[in-house]
Amino acid sequence: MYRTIAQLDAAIDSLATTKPDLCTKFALQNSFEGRPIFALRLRAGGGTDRRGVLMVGGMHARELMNPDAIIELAFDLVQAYTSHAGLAYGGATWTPDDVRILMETQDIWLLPCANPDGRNHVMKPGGVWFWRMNRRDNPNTPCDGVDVNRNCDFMWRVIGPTTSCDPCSSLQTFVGSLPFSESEANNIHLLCDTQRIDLFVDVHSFSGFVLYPWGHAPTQTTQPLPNFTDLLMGFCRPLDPPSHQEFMPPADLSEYQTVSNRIKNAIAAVQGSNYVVKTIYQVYNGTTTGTSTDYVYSRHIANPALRKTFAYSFETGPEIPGDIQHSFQPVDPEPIKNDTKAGLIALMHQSICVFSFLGETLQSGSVDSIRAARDEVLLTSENGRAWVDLVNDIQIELAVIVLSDKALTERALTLMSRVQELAANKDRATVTADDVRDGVDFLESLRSRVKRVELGDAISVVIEHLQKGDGQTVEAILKNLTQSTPPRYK
Amino acid sequence: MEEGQGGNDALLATRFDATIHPGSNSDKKDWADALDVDRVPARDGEVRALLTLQDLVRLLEQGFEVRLFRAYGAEPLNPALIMPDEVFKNWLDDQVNTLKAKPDPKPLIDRDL
Repeated sequence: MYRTIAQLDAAIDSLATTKPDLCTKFALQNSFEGRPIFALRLRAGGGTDRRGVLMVGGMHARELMNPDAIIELAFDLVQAYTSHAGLAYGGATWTPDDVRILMETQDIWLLPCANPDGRNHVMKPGGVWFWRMNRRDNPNTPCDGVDVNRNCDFMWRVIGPTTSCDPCSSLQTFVGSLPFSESEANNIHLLCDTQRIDLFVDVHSFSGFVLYPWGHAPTQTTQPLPNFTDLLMGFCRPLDPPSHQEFMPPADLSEYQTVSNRIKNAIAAVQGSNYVVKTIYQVYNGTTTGTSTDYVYSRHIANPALRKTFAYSFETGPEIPGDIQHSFQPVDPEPIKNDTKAGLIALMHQSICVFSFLGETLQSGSVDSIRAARDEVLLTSENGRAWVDLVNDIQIELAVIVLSDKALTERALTLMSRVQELAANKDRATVTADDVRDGVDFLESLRSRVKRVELGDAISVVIEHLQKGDGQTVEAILKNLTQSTPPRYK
Repeated sequence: MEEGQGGNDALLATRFDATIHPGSNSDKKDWADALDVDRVPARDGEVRALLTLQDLVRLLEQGFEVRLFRAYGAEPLNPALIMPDEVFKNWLDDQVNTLKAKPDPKPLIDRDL
C-alpha cells in the first residue's frame, strides 16, 4: 500500500522528534498548491564538512513506490544504527559496522516526495492515477502541470521524444516557463547550492534501470569540446547539432560504470532482479533534457568553482507487459521497495571515502592532491582501477579498526598529512626511509587487528609494494602499482 | 449534459497502454523522436506509451502501427492501494516505540582528536 502525503510528512516529523540528535527536518520551498516539502538529514556523530548524499523520490507523481521506499529506508537506517545492528533486504546484507560508518562519516539527505501536489492528485477523488507532473496552473491554457524533471537548468527547452515546450502536449513533459520555475525542481537546486552533496540519486519507475549521465546526447570520452555549454538552448528546438555527443572524462565514466554495477549487484542480491545499467539518453534512444541527474552532474562543468557531484537515476520495478498501471503502481510494492532500498544503500556505501573523512572531516584539511593522484595515475589504467576497487572494498573494515582506536586514528591522521604533502608534489617529492617505516608500521598494526585472513593477505601485498618505495616519488610508486594486479579479495 | 455526453467524455479521458511501431514510417531513422505521446521506459527498447484516443487517431493517420494492450479509465488510484490511517499509525507507533526504547549509541568516531 502507498502512503499519503500527510502520512509521509508525519513519518518525517516522527523521526525528527524521536531522534533529534540523528534526524533533522528541513522545510524547503512549498509546492505550487502550497504544500510544505520536507527534506530529512541523517547525521550521526557530529562534525562538519562531511560528504553528503542526496536521495530524491516522487518527482513524477504516478511513480508511487519510491517515496515510501525512501522514508522506510530512513527508519531502517536509524533503527539499525541505534541498535548497532546490520541491515538485510532479502540476500543483500550490511554489517553493523557498515551502518555505523554510513551514518557517522557522511550526511544522508532524503527528499522522499519532491512533488506532493502530484502525488495527492493521483490519490484524491477526482484525480487520475496516471498524472506525472506537478499541478501548476499554466496561464492562458486549459492544461495544467509542469514536468519537474524537465524543469532543471540543464539544456532547458531543448526538445526531444520526452521533452516538450507545449503545456498541452500529450507528452506530459512540459518544461515550464523558466528553468527552475517550479519549486518542486528548484528545491534540488537549493539543496545542492547550500549543502555539500557529493552523490545524488533521483529515484523513478519503472523498467529496472540504473542510469547515469548524459540524457541530452550520447556520452563519449574522447573530445572535451564542444560541450553542452557551447550548445544552443532555450529555443524549443531539438539538439543542435543533432550529432552532438557529450564528453565525460574517462575516469568519471569508469566511476559511473563501477558504481552502477555495484548497485545492480546489490539489487540482484535481494531477490534476483536484473537491473540494467545505461545512460539516460539510452532509455528513450533520444534527447532528454532538464533532468535533475544531468543538472546535478553538470554543475561543476558549467561553473568550475562548484564541487563535482556524481549523479544517478534509478527506474525501479519491472515492466509488466501490457499493464502500465501496475508497472507504476503494483498491488504489492514490497519486493520492489526492498530492491530500491538495497540499491540506495549500495550507492551510499560507494560514497564513503575514508581518506576524505580523515583528511577533510576530522582534520579540516584537503585531500585534493591524493584525489588527483588517484584520478591521474590509478584511474587511467585497468590495474589501477582494480587497486582503487580493492581499497573501496576493504576501507570500511579497516576504518572501523582505525576509528575505534584513538592512537591508531592519530597515526592515520599523521600519515594522511604526509601523503597529502607528497601527493601534492607527486612527480618530484620522494618518499623517505622514515615514510616507508611509518607506513609499514601502521599497516602492520592494522594487519594484526584484522579478523579475516584474506584481508590480512591483502594488507601484506600492499606492505610489499610500500617497502619498495624508499627514494621514489608517489607517482612512481603508483605507476609501479599499476604494473601488478591487486590480490583477489571478497 | 446531453444523454451520451458522459460516455463520450469518459472515452476521451481513457488511456491506452500501447506500443508504437513505424508502420509506413519505417524509412525514417528518427521516427520515434516526435511522436508527442506520454512515453514510459521500456525494458527492451520498444516505444511504449499511454495514449489518449486523440493520440491514437493521430498516430494511425500518420501511418504508424499501434498495438493496444489495455484501456484505463481516468480514475484516481484504487483506494484499496492507499494505506489506511489506522495501518499507518500502527506502523509508525511500532517504529517510534522501538526507537524510543534505544538510547543513541556512543559514536564510534572520536571527534576530539
